[in-house]
Amino acid sequence: MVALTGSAFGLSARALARSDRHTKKVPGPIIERVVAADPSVAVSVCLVSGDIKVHGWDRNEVRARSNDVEAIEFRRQAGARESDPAKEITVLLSDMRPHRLGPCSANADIELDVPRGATVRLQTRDGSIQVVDVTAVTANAQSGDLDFAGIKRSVEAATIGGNISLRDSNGPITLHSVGGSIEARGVRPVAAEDTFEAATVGGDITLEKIGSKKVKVRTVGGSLSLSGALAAGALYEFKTFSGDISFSLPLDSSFRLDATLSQGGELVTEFPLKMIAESKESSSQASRRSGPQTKGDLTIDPDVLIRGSKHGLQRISGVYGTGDALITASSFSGSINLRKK
Amino acid sequence: MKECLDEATLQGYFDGELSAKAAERAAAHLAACMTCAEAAREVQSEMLLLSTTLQPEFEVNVPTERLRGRLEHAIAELKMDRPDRAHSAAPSPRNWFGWVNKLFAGSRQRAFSYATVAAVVIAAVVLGVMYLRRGQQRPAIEARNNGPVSIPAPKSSPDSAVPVPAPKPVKSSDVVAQAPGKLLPRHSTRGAETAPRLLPGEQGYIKTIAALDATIKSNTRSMRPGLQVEYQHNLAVVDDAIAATRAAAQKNPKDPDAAQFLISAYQSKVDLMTQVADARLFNTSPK
Repeated sequence: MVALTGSAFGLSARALARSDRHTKKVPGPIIERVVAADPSVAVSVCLVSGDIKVHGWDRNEVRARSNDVEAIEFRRQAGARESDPAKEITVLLSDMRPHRLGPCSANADIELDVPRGATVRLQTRDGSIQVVDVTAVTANAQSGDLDFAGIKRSVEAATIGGNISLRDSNGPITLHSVGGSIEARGVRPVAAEDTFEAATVGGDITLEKIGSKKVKVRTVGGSLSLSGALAAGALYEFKTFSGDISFSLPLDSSFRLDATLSQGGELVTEFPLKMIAESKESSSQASRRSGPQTKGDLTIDPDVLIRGSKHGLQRISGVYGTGDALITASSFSGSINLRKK
Repeated sequence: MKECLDEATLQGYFDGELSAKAAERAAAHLAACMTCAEAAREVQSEMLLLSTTLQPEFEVNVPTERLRGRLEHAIAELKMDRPDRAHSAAPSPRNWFGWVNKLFAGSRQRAFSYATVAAVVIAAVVLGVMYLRRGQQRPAIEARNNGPVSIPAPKSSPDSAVPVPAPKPVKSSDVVAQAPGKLLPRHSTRGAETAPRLLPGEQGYIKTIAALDATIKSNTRSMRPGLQVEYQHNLAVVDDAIAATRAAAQKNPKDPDAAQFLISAYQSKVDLMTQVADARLFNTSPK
């Protein structure tokens, strides 16, 4: 019943979010502006309502197109000369509403073409954001979905009611949604310290082929899943309250699993795990200092169901292979599954 | 239009939220009425002030600490300029009824949206009560470790633009009860729920949450229906997790894992409220 209520709420929220959007105007003529730009230009756009699409291209120019506006203005940073290629641009849209002020003024959809080396900062209250083939993205939306692909250096994105999708991107990644789900596939670090972080309250988080050395994901009401090879020496921290956690890993994986289960929870593994002796200090510290210490020959055999203790939260630590990667998985009332891929 | 424009209409006019006809009528009235023209200039100057204040922030990563400082400064200046309005923002029963009235004032579509929200919230509460009566309870969890576990201070979001006011002393039960339209918890309310005994360090989170709640509610403009429903629904999800993990942590005060779950649930609530408070700031920024 709770799930049913949740679904009803989710649907209502999305329906209301749609009703919040300003009524779409009849499309007018396409307004287009182009400006010469530095290959690593920083471009900012902020809308009240409307979708934003950004594509990286090979030209050192920024082009903006919209058919919902009266005019498009490229505002440069203070002191910049108009004759030089732009290094920073704020795209301002003027629609037909009276007395609109400020940079977040327009109710319009916009498409931008920017150099592939560009950094883009995008914000829309009611609308979706789609970005392909640029260097770095910072994006915020309230009720829209966020979709990114081919981002070369960093992604930082947040939405309240929308879903987030990320494909084939590199660098540090931070993805936050409140009610939506998060999917990421094909992420690689640029620097060793690059982290992948994703959090949502009500949605699921689905990850595939994440190469970052530190992966931290958290949801409250959703489930978490990771598919693909683990990076050697990487740290994976997965936490959910009422959802399940699933790992689908290659046969040649090598990892240590620290799992926390509640009474209703279960651990199901297709990998035989050698149990590790409990340590008073944090398990990750112990592991990093002296390597895993196995508890004799005690192993969790494949397909054996481990149920959470009836006497409280239960911590289970086990190693597969040489324990190169560390997986910390905690589910307060869900199950943890490790499957062979 | 003979009577003066009310504040909501004036704000809607500048936000472009009026219908074409209503906007025309408002413009005609502003051209003829000195009082409303003066009020309009005030609204416009406030928007311009915010616009000018926020302008540089769009050239750097938003939200930032600097933005927070600027917003606090801008808000303080506005309050100095408009003490009557600042006073009216203080919570009181009269203001609360005014807020409710304003909620259903305006266009039919808006009133319908709010009515839909209210219907959904009421339905959820009824479902929650029915669920409670079925007597579902969380499993009992016993202590298994030796030393008491304390909870670290909440991590505030460093990039948040939300100015969090100094928290007032609150009881944990107040915070849970504050959220309007919140789903009832699906677990038993016996035991830990009725005993407001807090774990060490829990008070810090409760203060932070109360401060964020005050920030969100201090915004005089009504929350958009879509945002409101999304917020309330996810707040209920997090509150449910907090209640369940608090019960476990209170039954197992020496279990670090139980405390960790509680911390994580609180942190999720802080993150959620920060994000919504940020969104509310966006809504009050110049349109």
